[in-house]
Amino acid sequence: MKRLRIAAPQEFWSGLVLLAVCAGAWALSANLSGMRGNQLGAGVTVRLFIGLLALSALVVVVRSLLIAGPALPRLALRGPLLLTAAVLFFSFAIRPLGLGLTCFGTTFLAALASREMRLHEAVIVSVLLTVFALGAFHYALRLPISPWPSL
Amino acid sequence: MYDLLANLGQGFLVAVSPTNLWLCLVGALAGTLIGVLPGLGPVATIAMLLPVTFGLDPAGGLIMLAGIYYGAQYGGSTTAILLNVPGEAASVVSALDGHQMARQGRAGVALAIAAIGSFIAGTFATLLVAALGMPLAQFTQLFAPADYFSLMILGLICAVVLSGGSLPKAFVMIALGLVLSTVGSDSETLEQRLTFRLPELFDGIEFVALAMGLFGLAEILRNLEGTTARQIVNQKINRLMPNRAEMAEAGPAIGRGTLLGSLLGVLPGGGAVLSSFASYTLEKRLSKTPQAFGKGAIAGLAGPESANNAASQTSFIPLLTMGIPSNAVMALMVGALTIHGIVPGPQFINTHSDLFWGVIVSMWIGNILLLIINLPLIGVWVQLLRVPYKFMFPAIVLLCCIGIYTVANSPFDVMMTAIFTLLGYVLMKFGYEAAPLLLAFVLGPLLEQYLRRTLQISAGDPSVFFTRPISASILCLCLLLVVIAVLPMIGRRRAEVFVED
Repeated sequence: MKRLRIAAPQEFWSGLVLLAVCAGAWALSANLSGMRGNQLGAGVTVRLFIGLLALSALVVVVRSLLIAGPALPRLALRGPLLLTAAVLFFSFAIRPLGLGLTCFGTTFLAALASREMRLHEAVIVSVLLTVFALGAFHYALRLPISPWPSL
Repeated sequence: MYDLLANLGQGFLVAVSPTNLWLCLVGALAGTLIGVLPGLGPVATIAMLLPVTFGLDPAGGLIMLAGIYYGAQYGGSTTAILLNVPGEAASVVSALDGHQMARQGRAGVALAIAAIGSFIAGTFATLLVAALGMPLAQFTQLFAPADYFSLMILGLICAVVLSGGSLPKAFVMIALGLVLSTVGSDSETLEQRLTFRLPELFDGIEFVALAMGLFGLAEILRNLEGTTARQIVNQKINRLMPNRAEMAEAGPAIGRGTLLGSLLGVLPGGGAVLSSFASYTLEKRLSKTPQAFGKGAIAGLAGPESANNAASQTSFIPLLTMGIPSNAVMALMVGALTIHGIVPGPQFINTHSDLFWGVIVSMWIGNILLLIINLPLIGVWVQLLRVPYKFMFPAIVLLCCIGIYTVANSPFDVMMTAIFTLLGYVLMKFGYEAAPLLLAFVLGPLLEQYLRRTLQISAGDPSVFFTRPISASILCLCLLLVVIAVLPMIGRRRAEVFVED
């Protein structure tokens, strides 16, 4: 028997992940109300949209077995991880640490996301941006964000 | 005619108030400032600057946004001409001949022609929006919920058909956007949908977090992958004003680009990108010296630049008269309006007439401001382009974070942005286009609302979609579009036009 060959790995795997997402979303929306007479319940459109997503993901998967396409892309690690870390740091730090320390940490982590950035450059950029942010957002625009850690 | 003038007069009163004039100026400047950065197009720029406008009154906010939009558009052209790095898909075409002109030492002339062409196109398109707005809004009074529903389906289909890459993938993105739009409490039954019982999600996914993650920050990740060293045109920009021969060559192209762009901008899914490509093709076909295209032909710059500005103006028509965004930029505008508590649509012109006309007039004022501020400031933008990207992007990241946080003082929204950044990056790497997702995310709740109303009116009978003439003809058009797109012959020729409009 001829072994099934994946002609377009990029499409195949992304389609499979999407199908898994559909399954999860479907399970989550299972207890939502359906049609009640002429009234559209909360679950009808959700399941309609999830169905549409599943159908189109299925087409992507089936096509990936028939039509040759690109291989799996190489995902970078450093950039995405550090940039995401920077944004996440901001979300966790802004309340307890205040604007100043948060700005420094966020820009420092973000700056490191670039391969071309050297450590001392990152520190300088972060300090400058922190000073700028404090000046612009705390002193000039007077945003209601505490500039210093709340103890 | 008298009505038109009276309405425009009313608009002038709103637009030239000192505050609004100031906001328009600040918007145009800020838009250019961010838009001039390589790799950041109008969608990313607007997404980043959106939070700034929330504290303003609706008129001021919308006027500033319009200023940001045109500024970003113009900034993109500047980058394209000077660096050969198109900041967005619409200026890909400007880079072809504009950059060649710059390398021949005519950078100043190229930038001036882009600005003049954009201004002429903007003036014409503004008048067109003003003239067509009323009648179209009156026409859409005939629309029943079923017709609106079909019209939105048409918008989504257009986004799919015109998107680059594979059709099924574009469908996936539409569907994903629709699913994401359902997250939160249902508007009628208040049931929690896909919220994982997180109270922060009860109001749905924050639009700004989605837009900024998918476009602004994911775009940075893509830029970081390439090498960020750039070559700038180093010749001094001495002559700005084009001479008579150059104007004579640019003039007709500007005229044609304006008409073509105004027309294509109204179409759902159309807008700046489609029209600049179409205009370039047209100019090349009409030219007596088509071999000069790509080597610094003035018509190849003047036409597309005018077309994309005209189109970005007229693409406000479907939004303001029917409440239907025709591309990703307009989807952002809907997001902004909704945050101000305004629902764009046929009632919009009547209930918010000062706002409507004020925005239209300020579009035109925005174009004048761009002409006035950008030509003298060209030197500043060039200096800005010399700052290495690695020092620039941490600032963008920080501004994004602060921007999202200040929308609702919610750390959770910042967290969501991080998630959408990763999602945007992975989607990009796997060849999925994010623009249709954003459009679907905005249209999703409207689709559901109109579906609900239709079924209530028709007592649960879905056949109304096919029996009402307006709805039926729109759905036929959808079907036709899908058939044309699916036919592989034509499908293969689809240009990438919905990339980052």
